[in-house]
Amino acid sequence: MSNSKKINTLDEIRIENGIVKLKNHFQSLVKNNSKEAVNYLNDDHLQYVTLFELRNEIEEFNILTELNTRNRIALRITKEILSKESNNLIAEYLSSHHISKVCLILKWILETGFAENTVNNELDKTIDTAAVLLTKVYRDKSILPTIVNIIFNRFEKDYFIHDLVWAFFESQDPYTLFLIGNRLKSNKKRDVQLARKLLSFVPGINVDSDIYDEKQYLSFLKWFEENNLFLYYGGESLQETKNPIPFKIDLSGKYLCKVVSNETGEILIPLTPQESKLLKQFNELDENSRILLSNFSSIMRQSSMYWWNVWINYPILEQIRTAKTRMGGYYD
Amino acid sequence: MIRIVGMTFNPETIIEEYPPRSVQRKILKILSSSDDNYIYDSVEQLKFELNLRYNIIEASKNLYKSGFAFEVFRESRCNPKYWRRTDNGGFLLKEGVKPSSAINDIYINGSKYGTECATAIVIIFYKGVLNIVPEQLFNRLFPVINLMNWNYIDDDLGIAYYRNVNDPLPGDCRYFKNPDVDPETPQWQGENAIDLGDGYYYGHGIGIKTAEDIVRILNSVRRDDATQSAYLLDSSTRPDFNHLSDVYYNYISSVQFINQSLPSV
Repeated sequence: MSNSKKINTLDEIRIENGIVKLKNHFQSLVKNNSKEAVNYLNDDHLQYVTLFELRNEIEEFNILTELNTRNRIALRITKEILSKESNNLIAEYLSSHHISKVCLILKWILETGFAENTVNNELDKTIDTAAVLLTKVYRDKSILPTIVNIIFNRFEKDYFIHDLVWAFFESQDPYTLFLIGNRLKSNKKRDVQLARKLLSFVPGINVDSDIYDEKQYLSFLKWFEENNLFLYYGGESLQETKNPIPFKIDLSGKYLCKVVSNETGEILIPLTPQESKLLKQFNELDENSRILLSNFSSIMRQSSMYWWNVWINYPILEQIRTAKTRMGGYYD
Repeated sequence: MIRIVGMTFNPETIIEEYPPRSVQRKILKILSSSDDNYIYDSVEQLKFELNLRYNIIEASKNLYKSGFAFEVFRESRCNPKYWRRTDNGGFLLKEGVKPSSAINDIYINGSKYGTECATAIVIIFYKGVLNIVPEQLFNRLFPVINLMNWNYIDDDLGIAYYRNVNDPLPGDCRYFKNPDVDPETPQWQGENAIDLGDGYYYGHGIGIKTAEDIVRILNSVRRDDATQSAYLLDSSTRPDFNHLSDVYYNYISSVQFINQSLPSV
């Protein structure tokens, strides 16, 4: 599972000559030198796409037991995903002591399973399921940059992305927004189009706007910097609405400038009696006042901790009056 | 309450036009007794919404009866006589095909089609409109139809998603969320379903069921270690009734004007 650029012979044949030639070559290799064929498959540098494409031949020539653990588990997972009925294999792996090994295999599937120039629904389904297992079940965040690459690559070709976008956000990590935000400054038009669509809930991002991309990117960065510690996952997806809002801002956390849980939106650090009192008063306000105070609090704290401490100890009505005076028209 | 040109509207003035226990009467009662303001430019605009909501419900029941199958996008299928299946699993209207004929074909040859729940709802919205506007207007409004989830929908249909809805109405598309879905079946991460107005919902792939039944069915496709039940959100997806009404009445006026202008033979 090394990331070295060294290419496996079977991968090379697949990439250079296509799937049919790969299968023909592999069949004659197994017939002439079964051990060598197995060695190629068990090579650390083999890409999952090749294993996936040869899965029927592996079964046909009855060489499954000669494969290494990576390949055997990957093929079992593939079979489970592509079968209509669930055999609870995933649950079995989840509770097994092989959990870290399975996680590495899923990452291998995802990192080496993306074939750029083909539409293969079964392969894509396997990739999407591996992605959601890593993000939703194993809570692996390291795979997010790979997933975002696959999403944008597929979108460029107008392939199906909804399940993969869902898997991506199911990581419940606001870092996903940052990864998408980076595409706002891409030189590819389709990248910018998708980034705008997925970030359409961020103030300053407009799906249909002609405003140049750098300005939208800077708007996004400013918003992200101001809010990322207070974002929690709301779960909206492309199945639910055209322009989902996957993350919401927890106004209580933003008002007290306390980091919140990305999963629940609850403030992570225990509050002092004074903070609890402030929060109780804050939560009794109407939504517009809460938005005003949370925005003002966040900006004030960044500019001067001293004055923020003075302000946050004012009575709540005085806090509102000060915020209105100082914020002017900026309420959003 | 209902407000027409700034005045509170008394629903009793039109309620007799609809049969007792009809869905239109139910909608009128919800709108008029609500604390929210429902604003219309004319009584005709209000009646158009009532009519379209009724037809959305009828289109839901008829789609259920049509044999239209549930398939995930990767395995979606359509009648190639009218539609081209796209690489992302959507259905794109073929060139030279009448949009009205293509939408009607889904209801006539339902078994030739299969897709996920959101696309089914979009088909229902198109069919609801087709049922009440002249075919010529429908074909002029929607010359290009691309059926794929909530994407690519024609602006004239004006479908919008409303959060924190106080008065969900019959004919709305509601969403049942399934946060602990089995990762292997992302198609059951939730269910879009039309509120049929009688305590039942039509969700493609699930059928005509009560909210409790839909929740129970979604719960049966959760992961093994699930802790959270599926639930109905307080959101609604609706077409732009007032815009469609304006387009419809403008068309009717122009046709009447042309007919009156023609010399009698």
